[in-house]
Amino acid sequence: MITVYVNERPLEVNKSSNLQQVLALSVQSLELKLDNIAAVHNQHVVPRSKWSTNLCHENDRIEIFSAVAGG
Amino acid sequence: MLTIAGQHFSSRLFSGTGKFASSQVMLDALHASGTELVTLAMKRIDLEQGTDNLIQPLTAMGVKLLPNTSGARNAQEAIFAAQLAREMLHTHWIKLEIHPDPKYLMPDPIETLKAAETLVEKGFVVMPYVHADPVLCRRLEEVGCAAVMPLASPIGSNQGLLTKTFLKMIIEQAKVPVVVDAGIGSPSDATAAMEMGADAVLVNTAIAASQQPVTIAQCFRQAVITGRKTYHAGLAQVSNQASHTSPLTGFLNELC
Repeated sequence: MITVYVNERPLEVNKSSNLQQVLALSVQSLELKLDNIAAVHNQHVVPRSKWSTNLCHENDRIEIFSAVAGG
Repeated sequence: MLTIAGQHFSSRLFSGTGKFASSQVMLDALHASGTELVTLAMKRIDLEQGTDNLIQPLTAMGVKLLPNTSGARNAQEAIFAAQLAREMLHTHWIKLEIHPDPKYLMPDPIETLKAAETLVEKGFVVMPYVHADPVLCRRLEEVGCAAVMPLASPIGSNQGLLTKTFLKMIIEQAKVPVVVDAGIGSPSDATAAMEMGADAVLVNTAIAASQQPVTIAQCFRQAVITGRKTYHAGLAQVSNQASHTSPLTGFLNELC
């Protein structure tokens, strides 16, 4: 297992996890769909086409963004 | 019909989604407004509390989503935000707004121009929120922005068309659509902007923070239609002198 940080919160995941799996695990209890989020991996915006090939490593920083009301 | 980057809009009222008392009120008001383009912001989600899913009901309504870069303080942050928005909302459209000053939320013209140039190169449809500066609007148009969005007065202030003189210059010069954004406080402001020849207006606070958002949204809808129709029909000229509308026959004198 490795520890990654998703929106600053530590998360234990399998060593060979990819970004797609980490994102799915992170939003599973929320109402959000993966289709409606954007992901930043170690300060880089990752296109969704590359989520499944982007491997996660110990202490990686992942940030998840969603749309909110605004003008 | 209004066309921006090849997309047609039959409504010239764009709306924001912020400041509504609830998601349902927002959806009802947007529906009443007849808008076809709505703005959204982005936020890092709180994994404990989650977040409202706005995208699905808005998409179901059939409106086009225009994400903004609110929160960006410079060009680099705005470009980053635009890339996030593209992944999140599957759109190349971006409302570019860079306001480092938290008190008046005045847009930074230099960073906005820099960001616009890069975003256009990256294939974005860029709609920059700017001060009502005719020179800046022309420069933004030259770098390839799809529209310009000059402010009427400070964001959320409801002060109306304080920049009227400059908005007129921008409208006169622009070869891309001009969307008057920010500060429009009442339907009559919206009508006035449309009478001047603005291609559209973007209204948020004046609807969302009103006592009856759905009714006010309907009023804005009518106001924008009226303003556009008036612009096309052409108003009579303003004169400094009186000009009588009834014949001065002098018949009262004749009776005496």
